[in-house]
Amino acid sequence: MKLDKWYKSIVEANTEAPPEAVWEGIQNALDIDLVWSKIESDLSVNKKKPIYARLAVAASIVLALALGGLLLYQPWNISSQSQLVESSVNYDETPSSELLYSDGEGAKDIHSLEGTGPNQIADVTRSTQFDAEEIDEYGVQPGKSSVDGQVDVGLERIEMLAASYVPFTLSERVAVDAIAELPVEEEDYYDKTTGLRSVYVGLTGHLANTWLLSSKTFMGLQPDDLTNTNITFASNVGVQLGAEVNPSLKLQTEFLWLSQNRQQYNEYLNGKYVTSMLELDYYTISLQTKYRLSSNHSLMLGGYFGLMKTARQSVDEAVFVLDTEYGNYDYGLILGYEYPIPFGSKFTFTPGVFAKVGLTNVFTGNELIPFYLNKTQNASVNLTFSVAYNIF
Amino acid sequence: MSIELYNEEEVLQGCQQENRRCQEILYRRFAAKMYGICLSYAGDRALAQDMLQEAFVKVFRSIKDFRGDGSLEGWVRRIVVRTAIDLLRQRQSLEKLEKEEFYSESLTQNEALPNLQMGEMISYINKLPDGARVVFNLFAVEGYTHREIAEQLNISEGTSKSQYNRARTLLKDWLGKVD
Repeated sequence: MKLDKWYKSIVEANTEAPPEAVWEGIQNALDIDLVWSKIESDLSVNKKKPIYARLAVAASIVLALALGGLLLYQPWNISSQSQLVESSVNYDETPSSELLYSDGEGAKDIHSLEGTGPNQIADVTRSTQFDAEEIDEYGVQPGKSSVDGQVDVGLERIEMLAASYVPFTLSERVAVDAIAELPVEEEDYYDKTTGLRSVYVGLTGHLANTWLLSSKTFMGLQPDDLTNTNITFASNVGVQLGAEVNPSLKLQTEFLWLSQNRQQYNEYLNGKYVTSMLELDYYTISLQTKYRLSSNHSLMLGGYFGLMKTARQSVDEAVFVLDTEYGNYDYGLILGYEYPIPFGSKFTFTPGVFAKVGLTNVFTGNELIPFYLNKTQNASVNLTFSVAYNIF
Repeated sequence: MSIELYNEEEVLQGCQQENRRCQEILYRRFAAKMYGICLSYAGDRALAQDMLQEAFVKVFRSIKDFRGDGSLEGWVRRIVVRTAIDLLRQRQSLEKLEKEEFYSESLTQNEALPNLQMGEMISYINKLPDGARVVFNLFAVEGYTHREIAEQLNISEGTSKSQYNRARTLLKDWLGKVD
């Protein structure tokens, strides 16, 4: 047994370090493992992509329908409805003022309408069914003459009106007259030709903390990774055109002729530790809906579409054009907050903050890396300042 | 990089999170000892390096399964030995293990053993037949019984004993000629 112990002691006391090539081989094998696991995860993400795409389309349709519905049923449409009423009042030659209400309830209803808002009146005017019972509610008794003989709305008359399809009921006539008599308050002012309360143009600028959301960026945020992701800022400049469609809602479009996305890294490239900056510049147009929470607080929701201007990577002093590696367009969502401050009679200064997230992979691939292995999305957090002039 | 700055638990956690720095620390902490074990099974450096590389890749791939029931070194060592045997089996070095009759000729207490280093020892180990070398290592270094060795190598217990005795006899013979 002495031999065994002697042999074991020699084996265990070995201090000969293996050559460095062994550790390099281990690292290579582990790197291959990482690549495969990434490919597997990317493939599984790509499989799920159609579901997300369908959800995004469905959400867009719902949003469009909701906005459309909101626009259709808001009071700024009263002008067009009242114009329609005025142009199509052919139901009866009898002036509305000569209508007789046997018990006076109709007159009381007219009075009550004066205190109601435009929505309720619009609801009344939308009713288009001729209904004898409804007439009864206003005190018009079929077959009976009026007290002073001005108008006699008898059963035959009602039936005749019904048979000839009169598009407006008595209640509608009452409502139309009530609308005509309502005082126009300054708060409810709107332009009768456009249906808009105000239209404005302005200049806008953003100070943006931009991010290129990619695996390289995320790995660079880990302290032990060789690549270091730096916080990067950029700026956007453009013009805006907007309209206040009702006291709570504004629609606005912005065109940015300078729309920058930047991401800076410290990384090993070609054996040197260098600072590199990926620069994606776009022309961007956005459509935003602004909902006023109170007099000076607004929430903003919208979408943007960007057309690629240039894609470059600067490494220290050298600049490389990457136009073929990044897509021609980008699109995404905007969500933010604004605090409009009016000054003078026509101007508004609006500071705000918003987040922008791209929904598409802007990396289209190169000869080494296919597009699906380096998914890259634009994103930014923006401080925004704009000055707008109210045209009317 | 200072290996001693990290305790074993930190290194283990880092390896389980696939942290390359911790993987390197763990490798460098055990590399020399495990390389010695690989040399004792391989008999030549090139094969020992292949064994060591493959064994550590297995260690890092399966380290998430390490539950800390025993020591980390013991767990790594078991993987190294198993990998060494697998590689020898892949090379069909263990297929011709047969029961051979060898007398057990233990060295007496008074016999002086030469003061060899691992480098010199390799030249003797390399001379041993593959089967005898593996059985001798499993018995003398790892402390397995002949029954356990027989199960691992899929041979009979008798074959394990005879291969062990063969290795001892050959080593004794060679070492006797060492000045």
